[in-house]
Amino acid sequence: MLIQPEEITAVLNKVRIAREHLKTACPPHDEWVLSVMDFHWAVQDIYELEIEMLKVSFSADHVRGKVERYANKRARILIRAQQTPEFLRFVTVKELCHLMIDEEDDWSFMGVETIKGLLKEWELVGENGTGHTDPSDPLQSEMLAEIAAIEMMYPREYRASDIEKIKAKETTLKKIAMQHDVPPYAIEQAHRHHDMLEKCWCAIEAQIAGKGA
Amino acid sequence: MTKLSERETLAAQYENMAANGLVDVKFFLGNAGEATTEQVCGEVNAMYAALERGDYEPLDFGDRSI
Repeated sequence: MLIQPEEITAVLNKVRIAREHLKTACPPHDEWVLSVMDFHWAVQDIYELEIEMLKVSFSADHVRGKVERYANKRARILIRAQQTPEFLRFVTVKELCHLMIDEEDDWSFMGVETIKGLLKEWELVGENGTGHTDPSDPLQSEMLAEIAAIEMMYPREYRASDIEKIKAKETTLKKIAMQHDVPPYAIEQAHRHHDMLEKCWCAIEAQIAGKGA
Repeated sequence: MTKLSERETLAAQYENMAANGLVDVKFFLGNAGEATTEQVCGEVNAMYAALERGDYEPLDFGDRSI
């Protein structure tokens, strides 16, 4: 899926705000591992939402979780119970990220259309390696929420040195994933898109420096 | 009476929920390259059926510090 860098920068800026909010409000803790419940609190606090989270027992091969947003500032996150602990964390954080990053243009209650778009995206990636070149806002939001979740759980300050350590065979994706309590998939994605994400972070730093000057 | 497909059932579910305030729904799918719309809609319907049966519990990771 092709996403404009400005869209990614806007999302990373919301990640920055959430992380600063957590740093200010929470006592010092294990910096390697994101507290999901603290993040749940932060999203509620910043965006004035009431978010219910449920673990649901049902059989599925594809659906890991979902989030529903209601007009009255309530939301409900439903996560499939039968999955590994690190995926339970990652899926929950990704759904919380929707509530953090989505603007009204990204909203749609037409869930079947969103599912069709997601499956088409996987098919297109298989065919052309890129996916949709002009994704709808709800579809784009699915990808941006995953980026935000990875950024929340595996912050940028670890990445450059981890990439070097992997090259030098001093560590592995799996070891890094265990340190941060995330699926190896999340670390792999972060490393794959490292250069692009760094450019977006640099744009945010330049904006902040510009405001301070 | 004709049985609704999984996608028709789910579309009707969301129409009904939208009438009661739903404004947005998003999904996290895994192994989606092997999935069909009918399959995924069936799984989401199964999730709602599990909720109706009461097969759920609050999700709390026990890591709150605030």
